[in-house]
Amino acid sequence: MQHVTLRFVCALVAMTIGSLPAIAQEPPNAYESATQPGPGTFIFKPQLRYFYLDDAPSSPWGDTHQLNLSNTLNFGIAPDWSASIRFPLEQRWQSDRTSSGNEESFGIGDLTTLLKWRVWRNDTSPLDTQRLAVFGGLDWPLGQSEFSSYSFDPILGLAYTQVTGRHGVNLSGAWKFATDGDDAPLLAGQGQADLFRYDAAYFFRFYPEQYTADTKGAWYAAFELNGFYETNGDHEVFLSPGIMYEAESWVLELSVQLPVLQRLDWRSETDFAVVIGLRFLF
Amino acid sequence: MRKITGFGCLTVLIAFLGCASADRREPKTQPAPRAAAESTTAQSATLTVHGLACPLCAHNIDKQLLKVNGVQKVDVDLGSGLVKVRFADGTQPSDKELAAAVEAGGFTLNKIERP
Repeated sequence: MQHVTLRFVCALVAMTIGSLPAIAQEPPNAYESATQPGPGTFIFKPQLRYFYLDDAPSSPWGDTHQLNLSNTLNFGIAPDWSASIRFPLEQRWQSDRTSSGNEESFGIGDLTTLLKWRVWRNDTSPLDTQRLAVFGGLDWPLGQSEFSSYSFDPILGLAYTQVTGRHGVNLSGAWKFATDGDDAPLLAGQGQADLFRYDAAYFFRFYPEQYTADTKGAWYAAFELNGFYETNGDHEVFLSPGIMYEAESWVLELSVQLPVLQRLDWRSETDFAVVIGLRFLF
Repeated sequence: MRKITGFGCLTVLIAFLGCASADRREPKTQPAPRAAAESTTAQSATLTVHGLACPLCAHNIDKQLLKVNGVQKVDVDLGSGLVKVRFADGTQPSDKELAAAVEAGGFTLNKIERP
């Protein structure tokens, strides 16, 4: 067990330190936002998520603890176009109901590639802006068996971001078309049903009240609703309060996810999740 | 739970290291000697830009403007939307080049003023 944990820590350290200095007004838990790097600019976003799952009705497994290290590299390819590649590292601890034993697994999850196009932008003052972007891409079944959906799944979505003074709003929706999937999925999007992810976030900049020429960073409180609806009828919604510090070229974000709606017949219920993330722009 | 706490501490530490190594809006070229710098104080422009949104978002404008040949230093005032651009000695990027860089960063240029 210690051996696997050590490998996970080493991977985390290597990938994060290996990156250089990250975009903001992007909620910690939303699938996408309408912000993006300019041409030739990169944003690396490592995000560590711990979640605890109740035992799934269709699985021999009992309680599950999982660590997910999602690594996303965004890069600007034209003034209104950006691309991203996301690959997760996973570590899971599960109790076996039948043998009272435990199993631990470590590996990579499915790779996701996305292309984003900012279709509309309206900048009304030095700070205020409204942006709309469409994005599309593919989930590649490159993950290890226990962390994969086993299928090439297309993704299509829309994101809207607005900043007005100290207030920010981010709305996004993404449809993942499942072409195949796991018979006994543990998480949303791993089964054979399509997944609709919808996210709504509100940001409030609580420090500084006013930006000046000397401003080097800002603190935000974030309140999110993150929904996962699958076409098999499973539906789970989280309330996700968080805090974010944003400097000129990096961001630190902390958030918790608490379930407010869980109608699940095909997979496990998430009791809670804790998220810590970074973004580096270079 | 102890392991989870360990992961959290590690990530905060990495954030600190990331902060220390972050790009500090340094110019692409070496700073000029004092005498030269004084002689080039007129070689600057002030851009009024809209849609800067946040400190990290605004960093995109630094990145794009510093790619323009001759741009030596960029200072962004988020509150007023004023972006001061200093040029290297003997260079004078055109308004068109500066406007294209602002657009590439994803912002709206309102005005360019030169002393």
